Amino acid sequence: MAKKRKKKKHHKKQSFYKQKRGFLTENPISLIAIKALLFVLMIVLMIVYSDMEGYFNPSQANNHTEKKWNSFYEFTKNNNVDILLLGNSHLYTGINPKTLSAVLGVNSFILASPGTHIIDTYFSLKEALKITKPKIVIIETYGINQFNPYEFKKGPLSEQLKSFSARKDFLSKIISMPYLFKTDNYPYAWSNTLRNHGFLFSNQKQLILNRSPKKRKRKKDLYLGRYVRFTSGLKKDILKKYDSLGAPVKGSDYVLNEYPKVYTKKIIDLCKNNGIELIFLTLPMYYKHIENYSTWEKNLKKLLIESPNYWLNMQSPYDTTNFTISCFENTYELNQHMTYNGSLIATNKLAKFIKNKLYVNLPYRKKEQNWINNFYGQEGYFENNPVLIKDKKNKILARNFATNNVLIDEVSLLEQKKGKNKLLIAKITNNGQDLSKCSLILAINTSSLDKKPAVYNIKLNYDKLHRGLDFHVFKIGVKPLEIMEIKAGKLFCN
Amino acid sequence: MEFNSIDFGIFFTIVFISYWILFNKNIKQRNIFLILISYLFYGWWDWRFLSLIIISSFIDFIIGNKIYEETDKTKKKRLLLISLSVNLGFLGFFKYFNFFIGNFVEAFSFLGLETDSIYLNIILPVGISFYTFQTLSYTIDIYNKKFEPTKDLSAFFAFVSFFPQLVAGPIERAKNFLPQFYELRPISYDLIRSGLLLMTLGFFKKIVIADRLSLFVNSAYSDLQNIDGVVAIFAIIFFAFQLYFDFSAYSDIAIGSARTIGFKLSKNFNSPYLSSSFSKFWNRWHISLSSWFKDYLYIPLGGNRASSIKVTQNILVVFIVSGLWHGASWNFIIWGLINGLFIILLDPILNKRHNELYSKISKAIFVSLAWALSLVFFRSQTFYDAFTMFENLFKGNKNILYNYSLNSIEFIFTIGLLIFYMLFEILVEVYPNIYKLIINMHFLIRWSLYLSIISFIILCGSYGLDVDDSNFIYFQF
Repeated sequence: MAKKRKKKKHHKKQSFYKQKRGFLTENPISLIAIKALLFVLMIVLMIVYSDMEGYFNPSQANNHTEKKWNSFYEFTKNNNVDILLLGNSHLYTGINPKTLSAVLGVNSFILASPGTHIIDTYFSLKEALKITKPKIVIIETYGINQFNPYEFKKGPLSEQLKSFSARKDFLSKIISMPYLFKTDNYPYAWSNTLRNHGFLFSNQKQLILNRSPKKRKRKKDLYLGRYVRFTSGLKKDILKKYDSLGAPVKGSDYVLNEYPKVYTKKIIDLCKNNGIELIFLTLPMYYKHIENYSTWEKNLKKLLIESPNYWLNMQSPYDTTNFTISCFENTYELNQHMTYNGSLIATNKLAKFIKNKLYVNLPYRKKEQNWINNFYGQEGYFENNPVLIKDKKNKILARNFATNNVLIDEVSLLEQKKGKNKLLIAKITNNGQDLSKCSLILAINTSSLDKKPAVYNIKLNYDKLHRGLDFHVFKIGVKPLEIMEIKAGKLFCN
Repeated sequence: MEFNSIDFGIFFTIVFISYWILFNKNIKQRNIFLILISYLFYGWWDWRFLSLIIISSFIDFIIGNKIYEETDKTKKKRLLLISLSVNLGFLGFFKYFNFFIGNFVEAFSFLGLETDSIYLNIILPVGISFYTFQTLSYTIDIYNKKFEPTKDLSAFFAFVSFFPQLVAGPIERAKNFLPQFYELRPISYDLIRSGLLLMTLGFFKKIVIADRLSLFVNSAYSDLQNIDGVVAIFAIIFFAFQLYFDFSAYSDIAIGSARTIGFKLSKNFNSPYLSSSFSKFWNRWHISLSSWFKDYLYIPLGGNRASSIKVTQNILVVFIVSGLWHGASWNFIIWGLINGLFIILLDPILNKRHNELYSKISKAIFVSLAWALSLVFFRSQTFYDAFTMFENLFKGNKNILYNYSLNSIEFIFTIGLLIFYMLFEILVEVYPNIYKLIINMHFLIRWSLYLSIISFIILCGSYGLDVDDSNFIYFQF
């Protein structure tokens, strides 16, 4: 009986297979579809595996875009970004988010990619708004120009791909892809294996590095999207070119096509719908670097005037007093970025603009422990905020110290990140008076390293770069002296 | 739409599925579907030029029937002339207008007469030379009573515009190809599999070999003033291989994709670099065009059945016209002329019977090298460029060979690929059933082989952001 049942079962099984085989042979389309699907799946899995293992990952040493986005996701886990800045390289070299945050007491972050354009900016903003709720969004205007994302090649396309792959929201990436790339570039947008397969011939070192189990330890530092690229300003060779050849950038060449028009409008609407104040920001190039800027400005104005948003244009009127040659990259190329010095001046101007012109209910986070944890000791912090008493590295020498002709809010001795020298810094409340031509002399009782006490007169110079909103800052680098106390002080003005 | 694009990948998948599931049930519906997708395929480049195909198809359809019905020989001739004028008129205007105007102006100025030159900003419609020749063969065959015209408008339109071979051939004869639009064929697993395999081979040739060779060739030709002897030698040899792999890849993909939807296109290449004479070479290279010229130009001119002077003249005419077909420039005419002269002057020597293997190999190498040298005119923009390239052959070697877009590893890899592929062609020549052998292998071995080839294309293909130009060369004709 059991044998019979077994036989019956076997027979059933056989006829099922026969039926199945019959189905497939009689329906070759099904057979082909199954085989093709299986085959494609195997190929896709192979690529996905290679991508996940990172065999063809590019060098991360210069991938600032990915670093920015990773840092953004990390930062927004515990913090809300109050001021979000978007744009291209002009922005991340021209604004210092740490200083901006330190001046205003907010969290600001730059989400900018090199060579990017307003479409990428729009989709980056959309993704960012899913994660954080900024009060102010600032769009740098160099990305608003004539371009066609579908015609990008090599350089700009590579940056565009980096920006795309750095974003993590799968759905928003899928939605944005057709607007950012032509179809032939879709595979490169998703897969490092497909994008960088050429490493097999051109960059074996990177392949070996990618396969090595040792992963570089990253310093856990607050990174808000700033990238210091240029430290020295314009030099004689370029200045001579301005005189002999004229300006390399012609404002009359600046035209707009449909893409920037449509996407600027989309950004305006997006901010409006989210109750966000929108500022358009134009960072300057050296005034001799552009001629006929008014045409450029006119074209841009036509576009930006359609919305009741703010436009802070530092190119015009141009601040000749502060934006000196030290503020600009030494180049005659079309793209001229700002130096570290220039960025500090621009940042303070932006902070002032936000504080004076924009009546937004920005949070004041200077007393929030989280904010202090993030920003204490970072760039621009001590120029705008007090040294904490419990700080063992940085020392307060005096507070509310009245001298012959001025009341000094704070004198402190700060450790420098590099070297043994220290920084002597004094802050005086900004009551609107102009102290930019003044210097502060302090009589200081010190003991040097060999412990012999002495009194020195030290001259502190006015810090034009950190001209904060609340304070005038005077500074001088000093040798590693043990400063005991401030004896006296006097403000000298020309 | 290019074959080597994502657009085509999406297009082809949709077409393949919808063709077999929805449209292979009714001939008319199937043909209309083929017309629409072919127009979509073509319109992806420039939809404006679709009008040329439509007009050309319409006129040839009507004239073909009129010629067949007409009994008066003069009227028949007149109708044929109308068809020729329309088709060659389009081709002449879009391809040769500026060339002829330029030559007239130069000729006049040579005679001391100043003329105002009227150059037009004309864009060459993709594939115009191919589909024009295809439709011409239709009316000429009807005129010569070799073929009966079709009454089925949709079949004819589908025949003219059939997307796999519309822009770069193979140039099909109506006699062989048009009847395929009259019938529905059941789905064939074997045909689809062989089609897909052929497409894969095409992609391999194009992406891995041709596009890699193009990096070196483009780089060398754009630096003609500075390249050294060795670079020039490699640029010339590499271009010969690039052209072969590029064009045969296109043909493979075209034939393969047609097969997947049940259509059979004729073979366009048959290991031409294994030819032991120039006439054999032309029987193996761009077969559909060579045979077109043979049937519609060489034989009507008298062919071989004439005095030796007349035969020589016929050969030269065919090759000069063939050069002109490729492009409106004197370089192409000279290229054609040189190849004609090769047949006239060298073939009598090469055709002497020496059947030893070494003799065959040395003849094949000689033919291929001579062909490669003639291609200098084909590849160069001007006469001056071509002569500079020849001059460069006699220079020493100061620069490093690997400065021209291929580094040492990639260069050696490329040479290895060429040797490998030529050995493979020899193997196929000796054992023509090798494909069957592969197909009959155990499925695990087969699938491993397929996966390896695809992986090889993905990892070793020359594509991506660093490759500026991956268009098929024959698109420009």
